[in-house]
Amino acid sequence: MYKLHLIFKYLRKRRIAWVSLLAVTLCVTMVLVVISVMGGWLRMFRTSFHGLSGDIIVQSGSLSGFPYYNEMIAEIEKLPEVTAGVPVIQTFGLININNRKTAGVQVFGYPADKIGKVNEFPKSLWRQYNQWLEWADGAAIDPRDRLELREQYGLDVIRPGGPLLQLTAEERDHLRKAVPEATKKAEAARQAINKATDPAEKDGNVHDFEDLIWLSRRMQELADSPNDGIADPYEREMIRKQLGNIIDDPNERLKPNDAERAAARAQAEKRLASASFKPFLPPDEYKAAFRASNPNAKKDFIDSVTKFDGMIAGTGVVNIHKDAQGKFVGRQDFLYRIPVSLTVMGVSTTGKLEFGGGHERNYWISDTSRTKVWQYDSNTVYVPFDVLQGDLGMEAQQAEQDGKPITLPARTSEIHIGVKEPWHSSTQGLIAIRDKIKPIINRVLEEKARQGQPYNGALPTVRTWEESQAKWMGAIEKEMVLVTGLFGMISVVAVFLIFCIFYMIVVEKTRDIGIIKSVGATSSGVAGIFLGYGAVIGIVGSGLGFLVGYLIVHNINTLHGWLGEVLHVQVWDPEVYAFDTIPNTMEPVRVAWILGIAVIASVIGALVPAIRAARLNPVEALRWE
Amino acid sequence: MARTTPQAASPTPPNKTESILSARGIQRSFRMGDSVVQVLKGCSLTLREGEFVAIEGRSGSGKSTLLHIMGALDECEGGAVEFEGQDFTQMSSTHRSWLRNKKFGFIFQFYHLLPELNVLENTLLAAMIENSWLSFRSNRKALHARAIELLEQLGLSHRLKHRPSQLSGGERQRVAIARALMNNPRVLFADEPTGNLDVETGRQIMDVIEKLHRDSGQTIVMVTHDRALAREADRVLVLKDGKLEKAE
Repeated sequence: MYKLHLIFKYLRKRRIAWVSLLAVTLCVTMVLVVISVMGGWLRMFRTSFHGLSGDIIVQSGSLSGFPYYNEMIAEIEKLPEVTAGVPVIQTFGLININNRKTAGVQVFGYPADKIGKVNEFPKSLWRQYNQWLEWADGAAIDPRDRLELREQYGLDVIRPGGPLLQLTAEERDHLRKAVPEATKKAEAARQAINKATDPAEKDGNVHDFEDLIWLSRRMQELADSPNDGIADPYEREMIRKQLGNIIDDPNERLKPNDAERAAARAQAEKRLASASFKPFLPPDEYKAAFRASNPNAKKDFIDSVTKFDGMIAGTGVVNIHKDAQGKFVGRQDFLYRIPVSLTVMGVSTTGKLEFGGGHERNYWISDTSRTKVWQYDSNTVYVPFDVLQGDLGMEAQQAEQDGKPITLPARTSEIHIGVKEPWHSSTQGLIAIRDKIKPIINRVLEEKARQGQPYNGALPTVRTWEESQAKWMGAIEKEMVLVTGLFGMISVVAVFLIFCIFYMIVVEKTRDIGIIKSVGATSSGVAGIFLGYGAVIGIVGSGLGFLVGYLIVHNINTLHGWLGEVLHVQVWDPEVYAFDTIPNTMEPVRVAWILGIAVIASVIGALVPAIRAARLNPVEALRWE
Repeated sequence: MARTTPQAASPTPPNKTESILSARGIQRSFRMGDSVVQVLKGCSLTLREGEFVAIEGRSGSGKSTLLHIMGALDECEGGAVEFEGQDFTQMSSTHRSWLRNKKFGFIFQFYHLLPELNVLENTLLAAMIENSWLSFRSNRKALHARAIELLEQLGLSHRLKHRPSQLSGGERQRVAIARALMNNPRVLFADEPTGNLDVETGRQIMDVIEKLHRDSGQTIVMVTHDRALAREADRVLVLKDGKLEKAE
């Protein structure tokens, strides 16, 4: 009883012990943040890379690829553990976006109908998947989108946007009262135009004046309109910007209800299952858009735009990025009306460029993909597999050998293979399947050789996704061990700090120890006071450390954004760390380990002082000055 | 858990004439630099139940050391100390801790109160050490009542929540007496209990000790250098040249 009593008395009265408490708190916070960010980073890497590639990859190291992939896939898909095998072409190309941007990009050729079976690429798409999810999660659906949802997708459950934006009697009343203010503001803006000398400032004032003049008239109109007066989102936003919250926020009005959310989610799942490269706007819209941006184009050419294929662009390629508040900007609708051209260079098996150079093709951007892996999102575009195969000269071709016509088989650069659970998430399981696939590949090639079929291309190798990304992931694993080790070593300082402070307390409390012993406390009891004291410091310190660490890790992206704004420091560079967000989750098992070690370390720090206190002779302790 | 008695409690209550504590041939030396000073050269003393014995001696004569050895606080180099017929000098330190907690009470010249605890908590210290957290909680009322009763008897009932630093010397010594009496000790050891007090306050403390002896028959061993104080005991022994003699 006295131990507990004294521990809490000492904790409250001996402020010096708070320094050790602070040290434990800081160390726990530090290690938790580092481990969580690094561990989270590795986890993100694994999930993202795994999500982007098949579980097992058959690939050739050569740009010319390898043949007989269809036969291989047919054989591989016979394995009961395999869900599907999908050919993928990976190459490089030059993209030209509406004559504004030309850049080198990584090009993936995906068969749209099958790719979802081996990786999670469809889940990275905006138009076809994430936009629906955003709506399902309650983002405002603007009136045009509502119309499209109802008409194109037949989702009658989505309410039309107009009635949602109808003004209430109260709002009309507010508008009527605010008209004089708008007029006054317009007059003020007019006077400011005359006063302004700086042309830019003058322009701004002119703009304001025009807005306000239009607004005061429109507000009067709306206020006087019968019950069905509708203020569209643009009007609502402008009124709110110029005159405050006298009417509702359009986003509030346009938020979906439960039925709409359920419909959006169901549609997301449907779209996910049938992700495609098809341009999704009506051909006339594309024609109009193309005519607008190419006024001198001939009619034939303008008509041909309806036949352009769709391309899915990585967000970075079309400059969709996060702003300072962490919101995505640049995702405007016009993006899907921009024609782009992609030039790829096919390489023959002899190492020469096919078609005497590059092959150019026009596409519409049909969607954007955000995989969250910077290397992909910043410079990758995805196009239909067969289109890319043709452009690269990798499709089946007729040739002549020793005077006889032969068919050179079509080639691919990779086969991505999806595997069922439980093998899917186990390294050992994947290695076992890999070892089953290797002989299948060899068997197919041997069979073809026996039949005397030609072989054009490099020999493929079979690797699990982890093996194919080993260079990256091994480096991250090592970095994590290194950083954790370094911070762990720094934390040892906390143990020494506790040791010093406790030693000081024991020396200072020598006489008290004598008193306690003279009243009958045993040596182990006295040791218990100081060990318990250390444990309490450890428990409270790691508790506080956990709290602070949790808050930091949970808000790390906000903190990082804030640091960037205030100090102009950007620690987390997506180009270096591969992801555009800092991992912000904690792993319970790791956290438990760290907290446990912190408590044990605190007790260890208190151990030597506790033993010294226990060994004190009571008479000598009582005489201590 | 309450600490269990390492031995069976003495079967019959000892009567007034029975010896309760006896020291035989106690020897103790201290190292002072290179030389060894033999402070106690074979001291023997038998204490009877209810007796008030004073040990008188000059400063540095070793009287406090003798008291500490008899009270199981210190160890001797030769001789034996028997309490209730058992020599505790050969027993474990845990047993000696138990004796100090349950059977002996100490009053020191410098009071030796714990500065972080208030008057009531200081008084309860022996009971806190004796009881586990659970048994203290369950006996809390009785233990508090006992401590408060003691403090009332010593005139400190209005000082329960005060810290030692807020008390006068006399008050501190009375808190120390209350703490020593908390577990009903069979022997009370007083080491120069008035040594740090003025004459008037020292007198009051002596009155308390005498009253304890007179009214409750408390067995007391007191060490002092003050002959006048020593005279108030039943029996006075003088420690001289490392040996105990009867006072003249």
